[in-house]
Amino acid sequence: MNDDRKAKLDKILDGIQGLPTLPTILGRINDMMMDPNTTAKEMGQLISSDPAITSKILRVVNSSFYGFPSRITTVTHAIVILGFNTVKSIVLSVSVFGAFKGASGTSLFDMNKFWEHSISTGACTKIIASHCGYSAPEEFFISGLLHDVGKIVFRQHLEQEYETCCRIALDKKIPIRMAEEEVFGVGHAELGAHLMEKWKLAKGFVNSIRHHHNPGLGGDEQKIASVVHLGDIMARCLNLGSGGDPYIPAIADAAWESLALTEEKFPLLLKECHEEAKKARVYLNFLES
Amino acid sequence: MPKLPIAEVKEGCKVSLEVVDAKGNVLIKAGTLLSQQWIDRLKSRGVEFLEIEDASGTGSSSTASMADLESHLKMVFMPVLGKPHMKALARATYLHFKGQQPGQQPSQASPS
Repeated sequence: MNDDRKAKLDKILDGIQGLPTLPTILGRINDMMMDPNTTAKEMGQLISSDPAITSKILRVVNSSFYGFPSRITTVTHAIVILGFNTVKSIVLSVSVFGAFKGASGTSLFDMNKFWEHSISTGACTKIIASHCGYSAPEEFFISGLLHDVGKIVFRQHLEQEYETCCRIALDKKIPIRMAEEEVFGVGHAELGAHLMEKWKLAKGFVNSIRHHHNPGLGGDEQKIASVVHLGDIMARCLNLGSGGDPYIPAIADAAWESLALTEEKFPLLLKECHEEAKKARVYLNFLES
Repeated sequence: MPKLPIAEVKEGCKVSLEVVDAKGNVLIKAGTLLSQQWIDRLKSRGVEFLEIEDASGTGSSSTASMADLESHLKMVFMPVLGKPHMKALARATYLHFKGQQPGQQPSQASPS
């Protein structure tokens, strides 16, 4: 980010009081994951000390999104089956829903459709990661889920200005990110990435969100950003929810090259993304509980 | 995909989003066709709302008809159809939805 954009972002952040925070348990999970000697039982005990998160994890792992034939009754069991990273992603997902649960929409920015788009993008991102040979595609779900989180921060903390953005996007028939640039001088991708940094999330993850509209700028994280970029496009093609504007971005050349895509893959990707997105709708339950 | 208070849900509707309780028990799976017995059982478990599939049964929140879909796809893809690969993506998207319509098979038609 150049100095001018950083100054604009700082100015926006100066005007925002009380950015959402995540439960402290996430930091402790991170610490435990850094220790190679941590066992599933120890991690399970830590997470189980938070009954609200435990209940949500069990709801997710027993849902059709994972489709296990028998019921998983403990967090430790979930960790053994799904692995540390996946369970951490679930904890992060349900915590994020908790952090933004009170966010309300407007006539121009429908919050339910926003979350449906976010969840669907998570599902599509996971499928694309799987096609691109990533060994743990499940971890990409959270990148897709949070790719537009900057929009909620704008919406919650700069309500009037963001309504202006939505109006400009509608009147000029332009993507909302371009309207954000007009009004704020920076877009939701940078703002969202900044929030992820404050939450001390991994660099690759932060940059996948920062560059999801321009994966070519992603440096070492170009391929990860490309996966999220294409996940967003697929969710938009499938008309699942709304990111605030209806337009489908063009696939960036950098994404096309780094993901080694071919046009022949489109039908299968659309089919699998659509199926996964339907299953992932179970996450909508967490907006209400 | 309407979300209805359970008091308004009728027999014969299909559930589009599964319902789970706080312990992770699935109370009803997505795709279940509701009988009055199901509705009564869910009420007794404290379920207040249900998401019900729309008439097309596609699970999508729009796509009321192929004509609407074609018009929608033209609108959203139009600005980028000249970009590499986007015409192919638009066509694949159209065929994907066309293939999901009851009783229809994908054809060679496309919105572009």
